Amino acid sequence: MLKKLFQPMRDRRHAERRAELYRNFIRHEAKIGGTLFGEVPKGTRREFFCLDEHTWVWHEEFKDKDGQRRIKTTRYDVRPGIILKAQDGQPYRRVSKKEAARLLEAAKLYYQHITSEIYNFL
Amino acid sequence: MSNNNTINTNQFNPSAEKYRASVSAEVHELGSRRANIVFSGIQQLEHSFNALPDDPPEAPAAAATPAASAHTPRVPVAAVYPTPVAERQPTTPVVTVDNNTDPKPYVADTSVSSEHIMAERYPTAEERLAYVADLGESIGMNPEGLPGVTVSSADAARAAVQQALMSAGGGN
Repeated sequence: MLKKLFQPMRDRRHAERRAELYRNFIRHEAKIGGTLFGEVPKGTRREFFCLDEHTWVWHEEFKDKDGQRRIKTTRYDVRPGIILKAQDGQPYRRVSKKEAARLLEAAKLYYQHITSEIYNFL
Repeated sequence: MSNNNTINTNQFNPSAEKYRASVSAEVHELGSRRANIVFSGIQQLEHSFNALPDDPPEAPAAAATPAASAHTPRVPVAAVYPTPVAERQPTTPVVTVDNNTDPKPYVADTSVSSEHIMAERYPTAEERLAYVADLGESIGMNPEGLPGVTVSSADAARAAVQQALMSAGGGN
């Protein structure tokens, strides 16, 4: 009886725990992704990660020359035959082949690093 | 004399063991799922990359006419391009931040943006019109700028939506 009563609560906790675990995986990946592009300047936080099969995110927080905190988020949407880029409220823009090549290379490096540093237990 | 406050870690606790096992299984499962998602993402990226046309050669700035320069690939005010370490030369800056040195004015590329997104999200004309009418109602925006939708058709859609709201008792 009591078990049945508490089951929904337990299910919700279980789902929350799984969601948190999943987010932690992404956070960890994002940190690793941020290191792929060389040294991060002091005071800058850089993250690069795969959000889902179609979306790659580059996030950077830094101080500009006036000391103001700036945040720049770039999202790459991968669609069949086209890669679109959205950056901080600007309209979607088609990604050039040159930029796409860099993105692809970054993504491959990202996969290498996360599989060796996080998912090496698989 | 034994200390009752000390936790004996050697003692087998079935409940804790069960919990650890379930967490371990979840870590394994979710980790595996993440790795598969990333792998699939790279495959899709690769397919899209292979289908991309080659970039047009950049015309020399001095020779560019005003009309041509409007179609030259623009450089955003502060563009951040991912450049992985393996590709970079040691002296190349990691992140390219263009400090507004490009004299070309900012030109929004509307050729891809709304056309593409709208067509994908709202494949039918009715869906698109309903979206525009809804948008127009909510933010008071003139939908003239949206592709494939004229003001008159948006007005008609808005009127239809309004009519539906009225008949449902939700209009004012």
